[in-house]
Amino acid sequence: MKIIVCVKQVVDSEATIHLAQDTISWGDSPFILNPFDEYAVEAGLKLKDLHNAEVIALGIGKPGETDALRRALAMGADSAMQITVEDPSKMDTLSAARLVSAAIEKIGDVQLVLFGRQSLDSGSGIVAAQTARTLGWPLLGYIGKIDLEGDSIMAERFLEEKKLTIKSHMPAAISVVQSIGEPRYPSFIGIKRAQKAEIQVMPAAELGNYPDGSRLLHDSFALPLKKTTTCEFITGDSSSELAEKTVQKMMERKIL
Amino acid sequence: MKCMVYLETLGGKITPPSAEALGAAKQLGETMAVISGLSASSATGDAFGYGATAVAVLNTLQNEEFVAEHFCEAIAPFIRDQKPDLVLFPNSFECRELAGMLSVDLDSPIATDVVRIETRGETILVERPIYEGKAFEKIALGEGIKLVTLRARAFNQPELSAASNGTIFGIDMAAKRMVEVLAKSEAQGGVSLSSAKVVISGGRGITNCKQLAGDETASAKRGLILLEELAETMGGAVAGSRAIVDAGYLPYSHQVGQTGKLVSPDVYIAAGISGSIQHIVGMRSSKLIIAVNKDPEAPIFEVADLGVVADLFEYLPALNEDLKKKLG
Repeated sequence: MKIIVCVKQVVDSEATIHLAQDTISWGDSPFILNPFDEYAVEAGLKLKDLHNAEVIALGIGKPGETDALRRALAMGADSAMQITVEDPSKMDTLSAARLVSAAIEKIGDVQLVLFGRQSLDSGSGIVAAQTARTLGWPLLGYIGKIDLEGDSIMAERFLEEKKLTIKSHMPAAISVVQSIGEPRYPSFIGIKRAQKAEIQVMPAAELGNYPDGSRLLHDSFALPLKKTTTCEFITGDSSSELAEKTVQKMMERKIL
Repeated sequence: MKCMVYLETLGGKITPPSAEALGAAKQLGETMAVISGLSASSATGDAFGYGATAVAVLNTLQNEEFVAEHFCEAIAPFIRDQKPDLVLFPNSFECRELAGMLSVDLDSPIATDVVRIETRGETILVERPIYEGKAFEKIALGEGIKLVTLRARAFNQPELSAASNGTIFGIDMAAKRMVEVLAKSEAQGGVSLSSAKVVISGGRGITNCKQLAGDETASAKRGLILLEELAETMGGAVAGSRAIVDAGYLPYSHQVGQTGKLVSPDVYIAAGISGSIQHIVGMRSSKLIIAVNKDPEAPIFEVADLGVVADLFEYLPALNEDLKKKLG
């Protein structure tokens, strides 16, 4: 059984964003595997342990930007492939889904494609649904537990205020949430292996739907308004005094 | 401009984020609402009351659960017929799936989690957070029927008027079923975290109650009760930091922060949360942040508006008592 796990490379949360001449930069902050995708890799590896599946990490990026793919390899993915695009900023979610779908058809014989529920950087959270629809496969979204039996999939779907048990069949697309379990840490041997591994490259142009960037046109970037207030500490001799003063402050601000 | 809005309902009522989407659409032009299923009967009237000029009801089967493919299969042809310029959705998990699938069928430009919409001549521009809200990008939507999901609480909810009549359409479901829903368990009551006006959030501090020295689980239980009581008094939702969710004290859907939810309530009370960057990105756009922590050096105070250096197990009950008195 072949399982594809889609992974994205993102800037670390700790990075400080700078904006100048409508260009965003983040100093020399490292790239990491999108934290949401770590759960998808973990889901793939759990299925590999149980069903002897082959796990292939698949990413889209500039040639050479392979940090996320190597992290997935270090965690235990069998191989990694990269769809290379010259200018990822010209790519919207639908282009990404079409490229992923074309790659999956080219790889052939894929039973499952796994996604994290969204990316840390653009945070759209729709590529799994778009890929499922493009391939004509069922989508099992926001999944925290996967059981396979023959061709059928039983899964637990975690929505905001409810949990559903759903059933479908392979091939399918699944978006994974953190109830799947903590992502495993790469072993020393895994890291060594990942550093040396060859990553197969598929140029986007060879997959047909080269992203044209016409659906979404960048206008401008902005930074959020800086908080100008500093923290006002409430002081008092007892809890009830602190509480009373807090409520007073809330009322002054017409919050209550 | 011709707009369409997909409305979600809960207990037969239009959800607040859906009403906000309807309000946003009304600013832009004539608006048709699409509403699913049997819950529609009372909600249909409210959709007119919020300003829809027509309502399309999706004729789902009895007790049919939302499955994005099934809904997309039925709604995509209807949208194609109606040719709206813009379709708005609340930014729920379900709606992101539905809008994502519709973008494939309609070859549409799509933007999710949008916090502002503006028009420049014929062009629609949307603003959405990127890098966990550390920046915003304004994007012009290209050719085609534009699909946009709106972040909860970023747009005002319109007043509900007395109007309750207008044109009603029916949309039939397609026969094909790709995903079967076998069972469902729902959280009882409570306020949805992303649309809550008040969020009471607990961190590692709730696992460390002086009187229960050493017993983390008992501490966390007591701490959660304090959060829940305060949430009830203030009409808010309970949330937690990753530490609390990872330890299993709260379901992950209640996690605020990097791998959890981004929330922006009117009031965010952070109790026993030290304030890692991963947590702060999830709550810093809250209007009023109140932090209570034993450690005056905790980084949470750098983003808080009001700070209280105290033991949360003593402070929260006192706060709850005082609020109850004042709110009467």
